[in-house]
Amino acid sequence: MNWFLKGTLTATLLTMGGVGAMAAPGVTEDKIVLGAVDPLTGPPSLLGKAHSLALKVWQEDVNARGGINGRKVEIVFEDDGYVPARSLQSLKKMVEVDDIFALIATSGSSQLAAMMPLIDELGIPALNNMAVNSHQFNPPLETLFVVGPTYCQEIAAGMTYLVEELGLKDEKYAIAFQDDEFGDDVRCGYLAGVEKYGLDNVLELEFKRGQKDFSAEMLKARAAGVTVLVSGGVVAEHSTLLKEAAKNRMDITFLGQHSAHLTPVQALAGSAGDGYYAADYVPALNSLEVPGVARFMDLANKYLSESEMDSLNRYALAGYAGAMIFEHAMTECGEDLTRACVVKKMEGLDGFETDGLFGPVTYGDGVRHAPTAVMVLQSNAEDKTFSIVSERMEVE
Amino acid sequence: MDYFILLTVSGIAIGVIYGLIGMGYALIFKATSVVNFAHGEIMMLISYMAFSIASSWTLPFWGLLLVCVFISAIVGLVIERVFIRPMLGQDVFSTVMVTIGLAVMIRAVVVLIWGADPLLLPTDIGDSGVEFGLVFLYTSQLYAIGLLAFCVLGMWVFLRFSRMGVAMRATAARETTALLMGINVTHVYAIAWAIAAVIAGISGVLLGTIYGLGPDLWTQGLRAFPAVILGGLDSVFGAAISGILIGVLENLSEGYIGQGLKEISGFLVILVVLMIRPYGLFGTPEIERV
Amino acid sequence: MRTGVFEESYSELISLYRNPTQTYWTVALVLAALVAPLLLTNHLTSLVNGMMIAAVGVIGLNLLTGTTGLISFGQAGFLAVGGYTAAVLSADYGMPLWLCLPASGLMAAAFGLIVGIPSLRLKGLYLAITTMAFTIIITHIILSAESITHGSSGISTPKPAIFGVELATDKSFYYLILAILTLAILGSANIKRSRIGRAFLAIREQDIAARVMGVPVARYKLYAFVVSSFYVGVAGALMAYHIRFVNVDSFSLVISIEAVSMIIVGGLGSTAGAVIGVVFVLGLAEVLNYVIGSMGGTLGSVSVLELKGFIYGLTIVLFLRFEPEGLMGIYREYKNRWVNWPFRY
Repeated sequence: MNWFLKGTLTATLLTMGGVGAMAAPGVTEDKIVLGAVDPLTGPPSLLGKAHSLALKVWQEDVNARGGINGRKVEIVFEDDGYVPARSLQSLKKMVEVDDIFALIATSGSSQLAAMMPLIDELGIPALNNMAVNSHQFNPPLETLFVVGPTYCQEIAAGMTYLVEELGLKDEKYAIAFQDDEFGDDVRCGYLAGVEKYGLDNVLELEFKRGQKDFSAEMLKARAAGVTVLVSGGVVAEHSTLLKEAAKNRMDITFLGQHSAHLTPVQALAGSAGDGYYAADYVPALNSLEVPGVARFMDLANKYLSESEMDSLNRYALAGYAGAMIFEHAMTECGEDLTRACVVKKMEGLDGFETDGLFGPVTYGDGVRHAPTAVMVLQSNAEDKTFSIVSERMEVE
Repeated sequence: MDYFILLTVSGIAIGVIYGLIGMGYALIFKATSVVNFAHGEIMMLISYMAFSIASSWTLPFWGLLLVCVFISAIVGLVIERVFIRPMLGQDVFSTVMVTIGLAVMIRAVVVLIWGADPLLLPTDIGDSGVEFGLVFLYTSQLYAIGLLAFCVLGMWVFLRFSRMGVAMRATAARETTALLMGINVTHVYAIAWAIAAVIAGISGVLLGTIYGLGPDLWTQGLRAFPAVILGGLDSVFGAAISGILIGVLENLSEGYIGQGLKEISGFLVILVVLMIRPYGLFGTPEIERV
Repeated sequence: MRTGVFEESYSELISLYRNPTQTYWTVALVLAALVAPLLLTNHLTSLVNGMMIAAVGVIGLNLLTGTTGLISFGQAGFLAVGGYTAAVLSADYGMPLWLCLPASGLMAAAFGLIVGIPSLRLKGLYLAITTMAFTIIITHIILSAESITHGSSGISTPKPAIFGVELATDKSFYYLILAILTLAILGSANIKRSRIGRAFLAIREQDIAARVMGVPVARYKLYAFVVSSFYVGVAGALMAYHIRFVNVDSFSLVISIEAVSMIIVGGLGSTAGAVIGVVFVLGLAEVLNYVIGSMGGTLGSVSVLELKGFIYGLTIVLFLRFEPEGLMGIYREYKNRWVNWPFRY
């Protein structure tokens, strides 16, 4: 039975795969095929769904405007469920079966790490705007472009805001970080801030991934008299830390990295979720004073259903802005759209603006990381929004 | 000393929840010799259902709990009838694998219906807490302690004095003989699953109130395994007590030694204890006749 | 119907196949396996590679759980040990593949020995949960021993190359995996027919009685763990080379449970069952991916994708309900009917 299934599958795929020769893979007279790997199922789908919906909105919009130099854009979405082995498998499938031109969504950092050898080998232009990690550009791959600060840079900028704008120089600082690479990155930013301003670092709390109960950790913090807490949680951890602090009657200033900039984090923390700070490199969905946000929300309202609108969050903005960068590079290449050309155009970006969604994007020869700029947002639990409270801090 | 007390109290607070979850595992194992790997998922399902109910009607906490008890009993009965009853007569291991398959299914269903965002269970005691001198506890955590005591007492009374309870003990001891004595074993199974589901529902609502809901709530079910193994897979009271022990142990080891030891201290402990008492602290040794 | 099959010499007694038909079919299978990569696309070859690697691991698990009856959910831990050993040795120390593979197997076997010790005291589901505890502890150790394992960043492995021949593409790697899989199958089949295999069966049926009959139960239980972990360790190493990236995320508890479901679906206790179980379960996942993926269209409704998990779980439940002997059970039944026709038995 299985041989039959496999045989049918093979036959179907083989017939599908037989397309005529093209100038560049994924590019025909009237079509460009792009690939997107995102976690669309399971708990991380919080990120993946928003990201892919934004790409869908961009696709509809570009095609409504006539496509890129007359070619319509077609995005193939693959779900990797946040498992690195599946990400690699999806990429292989997209290269073989769908013949993609480039990759505009690369899922999380371990997922991208699994795909990097193949991206490098085949020279597929790829853009990562979701999970930034120094391994991705140190050493740089010719065709992989990363936009957005590392957590280290993000939190360091956040710390700058805490000290310089809020004047929290003499407080007792603590950090809660996860026991993995992501946590280490957050801690790096924290220590950078501590060192720069000579802050009083009283406690470093390491916790295990997936941990739900932080009572012991927060008791330690209370005993140490902590007044500023930097949080390296994923999503729910931020809320639990906030709630534990409130429960223990601790009056703390809370700073999270960009995953704290999500409405579920606010909602889950209840009343404790008001007034905390999050450092991010994209504005809030309700920051309509930013032209990019206003335009995206307009388009989203036009092309998405109500329930899909509910799934949007900051990952959607990052995805849309990333797509804008790619659109620019592809448009610049004109009729003769090849992978080499797109890579060249991306490389040549210098201070490229995305209508306020990202800070200025700059790449260069051998430079594949554009940290752009970081801003700090504050949570308003009552109307479930975030507001930008700081200036844009450009990151080197 | 203060620190120690604080850690112990918060350990008890999480431990009672482990104890409740463990009681569910133990009850099903006791009655049917099956380890129900879907227990955490059933707990998650019922807590999400509670979320839907609490979002539509504002109920006081106890009202919500009561409604959940009803729903859990029905869910437990349905699952037993549809998935477990047909496996009667087959190898225990196969039934265990069915519960694993069931777990996968429930996980997918929960995300299908409620999405993957973390959610807050809206109850009227949500954020309120109580202060006992040094110690702060959420009202819900106090309720949890009370509910565990209530469930333990209730189970004791049920198993000791009620007809169905005695029948359950008889089935657990010797199933074939119980059948010969006229006990309706299928009814016993159904009731065992229903009660276990009720306990799961209660722990689910408590977890949801204290920590919020998320599509990974089922991992808390796994965290309760050390509790039920330590107490002995077939000892309901053992599970309750070991739950508290494990909760305290986790917090103490995290508080004094740190390094994320909280997660694995439970498992390390059961490794050691099992070598000394292979059936757990309170479990009944299986007598094998060759 | 087959009659007149006599074993007249020792070599006939111990030969794998008694029957020319069986031999011909096996040869055909081997030829098909050799020719397959030339007919399949790269993507499908990659899938088949994944299946074969899983098969090596599951054959090991089958020796432990199917043949010896020691239920183990610790496979993910041994896979992790094997994968990380291969990754660390090849990426950090530059050791060649033909050294890394056995090294990973031996490393996993050492861990298997440790994990096997509780099995001397514990029975049934207590043992199963203890092995689960080991997976969690091994994952924790891997995360903590950052100096060796790079902690949570994961390790990227170099391309597989054997004796100077680069096996960079999936198609060339296929042949190496095929060779290892063949060795694994032969090894497992031979163990089962040997004194050790019979001891395993005795332990599965009733270990106290086995001890009474003179089988050194403690020693053989440990053998079972060691041998099965060796298989799984080698599978882990192959995985590291296949995906070119190891990370604790790839070795979660869910993998252990998947592995056990594969042997159950295939048929507990038989090597062929292990392989077929792997093909069915992984193949099903791929087919579902494809079917529901194309239904989701260009993100028609993203939630539809969750159905994948649901149908996967449902399949396992249905299989256990209706076909507890697994696919091998179905095969055996039909084969018996065919062989014994027109008689019933």
